Amino acid sequence: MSGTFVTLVAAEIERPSIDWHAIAPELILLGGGALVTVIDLIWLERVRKLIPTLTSLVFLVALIPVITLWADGSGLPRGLWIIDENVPATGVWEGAFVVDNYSLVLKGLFLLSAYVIVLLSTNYMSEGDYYDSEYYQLIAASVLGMLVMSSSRDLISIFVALELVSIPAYLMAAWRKRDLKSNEAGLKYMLMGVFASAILLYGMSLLYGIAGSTLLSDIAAAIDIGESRPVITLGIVFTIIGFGFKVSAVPFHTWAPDTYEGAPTPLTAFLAVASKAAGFVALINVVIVALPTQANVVEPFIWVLAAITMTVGNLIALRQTNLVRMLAYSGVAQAGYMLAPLAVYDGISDRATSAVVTYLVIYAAMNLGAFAVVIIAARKTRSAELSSYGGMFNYAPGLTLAMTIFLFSLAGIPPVGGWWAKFEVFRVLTEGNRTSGIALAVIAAVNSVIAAFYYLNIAKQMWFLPSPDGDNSRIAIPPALLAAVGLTVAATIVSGVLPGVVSDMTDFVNVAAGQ
Amino acid sequence: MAQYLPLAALLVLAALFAFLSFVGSALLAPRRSTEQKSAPYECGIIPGREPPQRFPVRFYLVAMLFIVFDIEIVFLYPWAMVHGDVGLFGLIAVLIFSAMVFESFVYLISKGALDWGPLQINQRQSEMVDASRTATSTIRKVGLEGRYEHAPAKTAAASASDELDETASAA
Repeated sequence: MSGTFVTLVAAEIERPSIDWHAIAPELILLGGGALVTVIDLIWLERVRKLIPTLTSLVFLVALIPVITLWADGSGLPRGLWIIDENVPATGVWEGAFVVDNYSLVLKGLFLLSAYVIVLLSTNYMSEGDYYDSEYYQLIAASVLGMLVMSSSRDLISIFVALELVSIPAYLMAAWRKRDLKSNEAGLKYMLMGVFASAILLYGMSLLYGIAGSTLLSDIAAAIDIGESRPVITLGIVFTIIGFGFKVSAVPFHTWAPDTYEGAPTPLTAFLAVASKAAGFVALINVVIVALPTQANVVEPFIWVLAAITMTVGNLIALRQTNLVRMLAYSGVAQAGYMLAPLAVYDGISDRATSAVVTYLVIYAAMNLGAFAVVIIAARKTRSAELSSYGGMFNYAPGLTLAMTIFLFSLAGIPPVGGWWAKFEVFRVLTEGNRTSGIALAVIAAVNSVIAAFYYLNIAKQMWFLPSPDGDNSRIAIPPALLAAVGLTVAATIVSGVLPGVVSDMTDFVNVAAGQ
Repeated sequence: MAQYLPLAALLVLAALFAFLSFVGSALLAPRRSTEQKSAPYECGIIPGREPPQRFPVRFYLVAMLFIVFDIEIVFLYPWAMVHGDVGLFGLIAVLIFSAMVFESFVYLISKGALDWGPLQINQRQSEMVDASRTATSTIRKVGLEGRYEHAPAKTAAASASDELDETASAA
């Protein structure tokens, strides 16, 4: 497949041949998304019911090259170009796009999350009288940005990918058009997102000004001067703040609860899982690849962010009475746990990356599952208030059991997935017996106990309390939502009982080297 | 924390500068207001009436149509400069790109961006919208109460007066 075009023309400009296999997931998603749009435009109402199916098929087809690339692991890491000694390298995009085990795991995570999100959205969108075809096309566009993000090792491609992730999400957050809360969600998310992009760009411009290159590996080489300079510190701090908005780290989390509450619930799941993961991927790429020598600047800043993020997130979550808002704040707190390994990455950057990605994978399964249950329950109760979950065991025992599994997992109670994610984080934090790491581990442990209180409070509500309106009729669960719950329950349990399944995949070697 | 000291110093200086600027301006600036100074424009025609607060959304659609072709041109120029060098590969690449940009044009047309005639409501008004019993269905749709209070079935006259909203929806 590769190298066909180079031989077509004897050109003045020598092109290195493109590694089509390496960028196949992105190309399939781009072409598939465009095709779905065309199909929607031609047949309009007649194919409206098919659009979600087609979009999820595109995600699954895009997963095929991810799997084949993984199976063909010998060729990794690969770049955008095939390295050919006879063709001079152009230099422009050399090393900016890297496909390695790390990015493949994340691409798989993004595509599977997107598949589950489509399952969650199908009934919600078609029954709500929203514009639904465009919704799926925007999801596909956003996921394309995530795929590009996981391979980006260059400031420009990271920024473009981040905008591609965010801009469709701004639109989708305001999708419930006639609902004021949804308008507020979209506007708030867009304003804060644009603000974050501006700060991020400022930080990036400083890093570029020092290094004279947007390539992360060049920046790493340029700032390896053995001392700290204020301008480097400023660039790093601004860049991390920019990503801090995306991953909703305190104090840059203020958009998250309102946006999560107002946006359509499937999209909230998308923001809380996939979009947040994309922010973390960008942060990891910059910190691990570009700033390995600046640990004395990065570590204290991320340490403070992680500590206040988990503490503030959990304390505010304690007081929430709306389950979606509670999950939003719990997501903020979970972001704190995910930041923690990056606060001690000096010398163990591969292990820190593995811990964060492990957490992202397991968090995706359990959080998507929790949102699936919220969506199913809201079909009956039309509410996400905590009190409306009373008596669920009486009329939906299976659903209650599934939700309990997700809540136990979120709280980190063995044997379901979440404990392994937390265990990995603690292992990295205590590695090397550094005071800062152990202090952060203690803060994280205290926070896990606080978090268990409000997670288990939901379970108590479902198992033991009577339903508020005495309506104990059963919930009809549509097949798509049932499939989503089934998939996420399976993933949550397997990742907890057989943690090797996840940790074998996320056992990265030399992430920073890339190409 | 020595590496953060310059940043902290900068932060303090920036805050001080903003604060002192306000204080200095309040203390030192002369306040002699005249009618000319407080007018919106110092020269030109004095505006007779306020511009309308809301513009029909179709103007924005035309603006977006412009941007579609603007972007296409921006990328076609560099290709046109080197089309001989990049050859067939470049031609195919630029054709794919043009097709993708053109798709957004087709999308706008399909959604009625250029329908400037009398408004045709192609908005989906399914029976799901109505929470109450209808002639075609005696089943009350549970849970839709109150969600569509802004979207009652409209008469032609009523919808014409409300066409700004409707065009926005149709887009």
